[in-house]
Amino acid sequence: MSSLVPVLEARGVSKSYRSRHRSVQALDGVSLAVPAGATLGVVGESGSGKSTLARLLLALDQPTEGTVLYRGAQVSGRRERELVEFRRRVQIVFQDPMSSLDPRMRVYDLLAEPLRALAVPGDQGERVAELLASVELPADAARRYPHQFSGGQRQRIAIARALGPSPEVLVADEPVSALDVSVRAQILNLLASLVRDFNLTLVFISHDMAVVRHLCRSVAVLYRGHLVETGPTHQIYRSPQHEYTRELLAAVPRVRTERVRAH
Amino acid sequence: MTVVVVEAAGARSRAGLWRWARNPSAVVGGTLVGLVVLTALVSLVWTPYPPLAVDPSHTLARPSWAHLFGTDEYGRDVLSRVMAGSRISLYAGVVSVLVATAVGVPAGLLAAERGGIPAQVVLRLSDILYAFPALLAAITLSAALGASTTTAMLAIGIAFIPVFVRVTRSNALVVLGSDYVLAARAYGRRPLAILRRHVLPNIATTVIAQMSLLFSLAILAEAGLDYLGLGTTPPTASWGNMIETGQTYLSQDPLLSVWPGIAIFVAVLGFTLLGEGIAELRNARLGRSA
Repeated sequence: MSSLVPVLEARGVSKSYRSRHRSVQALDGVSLAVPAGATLGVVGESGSGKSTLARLLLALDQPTEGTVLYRGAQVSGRRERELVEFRRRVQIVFQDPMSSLDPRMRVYDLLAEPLRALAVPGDQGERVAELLASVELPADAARRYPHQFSGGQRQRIAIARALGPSPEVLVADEPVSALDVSVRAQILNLLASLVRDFNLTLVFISHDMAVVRHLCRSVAVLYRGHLVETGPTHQIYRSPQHEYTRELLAAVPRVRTERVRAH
Repeated sequence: MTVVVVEAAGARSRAGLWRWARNPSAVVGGTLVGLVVLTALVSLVWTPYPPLAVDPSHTLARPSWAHLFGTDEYGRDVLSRVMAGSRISLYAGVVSVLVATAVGVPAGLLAAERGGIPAQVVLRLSDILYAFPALLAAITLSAALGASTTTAMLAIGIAFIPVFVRVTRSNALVVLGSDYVLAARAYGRRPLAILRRHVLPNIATTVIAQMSLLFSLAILAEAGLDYLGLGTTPPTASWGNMIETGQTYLSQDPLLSVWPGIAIFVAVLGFTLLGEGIAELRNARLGRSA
């Protein structure tokens, strides 16, 4: 467990999607290392390849070129049965909790599924109760269905599900952009406190620089499939090197940034 | 925990019953289907007369208290034969729909999950089956196996396979493309487990609605094949062959063909409405969100 080996790493990763008539290069030679304990924000506009990167980091999709490594071991291109430990250690929260929770499953089963699938030891019922408590949902939520919850509550359920196997890395793919503005701050604060309490390494994917500044100590800027800038958040804020980063920063309303920062 | 879950399940099924009760298609369809099923069950243990009992002194009798639907050309009680015929129709409906489901649903799931060449193979085979005239298939089958209820059921079942392939595949594709399946993959669920835990439960209502609709078509088709002499053959009572024999005596006793015709009408209407009701309830469920 050398601290020098990044917990999650993308090495020269490219991904192109081919349709009948054309091929779209979603990611082009992206290299990114996430050290243990890091809170990394990946920012970029829609279409910049953020979600593709998330899928590749989770080994849910295979890169056309390059490799993804977990603690120095290659995970891209591996068979699913060799990835059990990786799946326990690296989890994901999706953007839209309306579509990321199976409408036919009760919350209990939604939260128990990862425990069953990954054979997580321990009492399932207790673990589900623990998970609900950790995302500040009442215990009786377990017997209800996703449609009986608000968007924010659903995202809490999705976060609880991701925490089930006690991962060390949480990849959050735009976890608040589908939510009402009024509940975004709550979910962000919840994520921040979970990262603190569980010592999570966070990869936070967002198009919103202000949110990233609030949650992440370092930032990687994606632009049209290229990684154009990486560095500590404060540095990138103070002296953005790339033109695109400056544009992204200019798009952040100042007053709001300061207020969020004050949390 | 167990107690809690059981309570919640009870509450949910009560809410489900209430939604059913407010859907006219489901209520009327369910009632008619219930009537047909009940008739078939009763006919197993009781009919006014044995359906094959011949009475040469009372042939082609008009409806009376002794014979509510009258008697046929051999003096057999028509009501008893209509009741017994319901068994053939339901049996043929059940088996043919099950054959189509048992082949079509797994094939549709395979096509949806694998994509690529397996999907192309499944879909082209399904197209060929769809384009092949079902009646010709029935004639071929009855030439090979002899005319019987089994032959009719098989022919109908095979003809229905493509419908289930299509319905299953298109609905499974939607589920497989969802974020919750992606999430399931992220926590290590393999394709088969995903099909069983996420895809099947989410497409079940659609498939069941389709089964009910095709059930009504199967009853109609089986009666048609019996009428043509390709399915259930006399003396066994089936609605289709009763219409056929009744046709011979149409001028003397037009009611003879009318009774099994009404029975077919009731059964087909019942299963069609029930299928539509299930589909409507499903849409209502999907429309109802947080």
